[in-house]
Amino acid sequence: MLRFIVGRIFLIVPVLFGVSVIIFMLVQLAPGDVTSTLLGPMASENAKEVLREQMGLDRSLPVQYAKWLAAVVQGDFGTSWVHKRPVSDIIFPKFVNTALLSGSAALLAYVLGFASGVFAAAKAGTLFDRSVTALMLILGSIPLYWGGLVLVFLFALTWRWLPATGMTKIVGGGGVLDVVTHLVLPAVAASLPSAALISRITRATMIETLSQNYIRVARAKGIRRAIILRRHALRNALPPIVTVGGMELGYLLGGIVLIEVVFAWPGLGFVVYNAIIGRDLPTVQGAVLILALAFVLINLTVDVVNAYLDPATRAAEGGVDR
Amino acid sequence: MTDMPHLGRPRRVPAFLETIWTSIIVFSRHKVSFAALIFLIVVALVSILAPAIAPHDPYVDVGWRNSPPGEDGLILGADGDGRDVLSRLIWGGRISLLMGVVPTLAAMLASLLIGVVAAYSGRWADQVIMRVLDMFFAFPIVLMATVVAGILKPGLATVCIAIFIALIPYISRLVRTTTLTIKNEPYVEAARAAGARGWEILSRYIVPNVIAPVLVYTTTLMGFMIVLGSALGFLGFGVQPPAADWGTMVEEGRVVLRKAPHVSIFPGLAIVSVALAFGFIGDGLRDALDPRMRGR
Repeated sequence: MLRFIVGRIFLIVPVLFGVSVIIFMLVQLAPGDVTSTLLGPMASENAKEVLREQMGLDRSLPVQYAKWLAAVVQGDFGTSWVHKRPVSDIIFPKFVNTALLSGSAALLAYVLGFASGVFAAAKAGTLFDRSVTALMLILGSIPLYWGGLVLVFLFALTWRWLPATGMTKIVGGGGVLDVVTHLVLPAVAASLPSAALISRITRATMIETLSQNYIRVARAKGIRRAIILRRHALRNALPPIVTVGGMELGYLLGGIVLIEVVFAWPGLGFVVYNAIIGRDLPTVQGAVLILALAFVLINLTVDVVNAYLDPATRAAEGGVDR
Repeated sequence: MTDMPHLGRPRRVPAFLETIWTSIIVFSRHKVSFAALIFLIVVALVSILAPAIAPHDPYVDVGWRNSPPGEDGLILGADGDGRDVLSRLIWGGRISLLMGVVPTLAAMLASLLIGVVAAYSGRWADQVIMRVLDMFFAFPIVLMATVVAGILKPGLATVCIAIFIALIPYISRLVRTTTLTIKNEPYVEAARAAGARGWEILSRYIVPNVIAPVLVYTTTLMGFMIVLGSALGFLGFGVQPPAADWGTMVEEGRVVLRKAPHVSIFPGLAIVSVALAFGFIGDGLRDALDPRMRGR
């Protein structure tokens, strides 16, 4: 097990290197001259030339990349062109907010998806099952941002139960209740597509598991249905569900940009969006790098958890259990 | 000696036509998929014929601002600028469908090339391609597309490029694994033993069998890409005003959400129904193209 984990960690080093290359190259795609963005269209050629030299833009791309990477590794993401502050000061405080939002959304998605999937499978073929399946199919096709707007329209504008936007500070704001009320709508909106997918996978896996011979044996022995479901079926259905669930957590992180824009949630996604609109490229680079890093680490964790859950890997690694 | 053309090889319908025909029959037996296909054809036709069908000019105000559906003779009401929502929806469909279909098909073709080359050439080429793809997998697809689209100049081409780039790793991976499986099938070995050349094996035995699962996957992706493309439009990275795709229309309705929710609701419903339709068609295609499903 330990060897597997260590090996897996070593594998992410080249991936992270590639991530940094891609992020660096992406920013090179930006149209127009960086110096005219910074100095305005009226700046003299001379001033532009000086700035270009100051920023090291007159050097070759590999040199620029090496310098950028060396700084990033030390936690220095450069200076924001818009706020004139270190990028790290801007992005690190926001990371907590994004983690809170995506964490709650993921939790919601798991509970909702897993529960609906298990119950639908237990009552496969009934009206309940068909309604759940249809509902999840529709939820899975809803654009995140639109789902968010519909929730805002219903719960914030029409019924006025919950605030739509206005979350400013997580820590030191209006207390826990304030955070929770602001969190509900964006978390629910972000969780819906993932919940739909997890529900579908859970249902399919559970139905497959329930048709296995050992389940039939258990039923023939007269074991109660609820116990078969809990003890025999759920356990064996778990690994594929965990895989998909982990992947979903990663995808949630991508969709979080849209949710944060709709709800003006002060997280990394909103930072990325504002930085793109304001052409603040160092901030885009820094924030995207952190998001990609989080994604890679989530995938790593999912792999490790999966290896742990799968008895075959455990046995191959010489693990003893039960 | 008389000519006896029918003796050696009986003339018959080419095998691939027969396969396609069987697939169509199986597909049309799938009621939901068939209905979804009809629905999509109607939507596509309406979009293509937008100049003839749209009741009003999508860019000119024809009613009161925010007038609700049914009033002013506008079936779906007017938006915040008094423009006909239905006409804008019909015109926007052109852009939204295009954003979902064209870059996805392009990505499929590029991925077929990348995936088959990786799997077929083996060794170092495979290693290089797979490691590069791994790097792209380190980004959630929505984030990747958002950043690419956001950094380039806003426009339709930008959204298409963003979707194209974001999709390639996913389809390529499927092409590669499928090719690797098929490469070792007995019938490929038989063809090789019978003296078929490398190129012949590739074009006659491998690619035709790789295409089926890839086509199914691509169809399902199209629905998702319409959603993703609309999201990029929503963020303002797509076509610029006064033109609008469905996602941009949702965004335009955002400022009048309280007074006129219909401006955002209708384009959203359009996206959901088209995305669903692509999903159903994907399901039907999977059954139709899977030989094990035939004759059921």
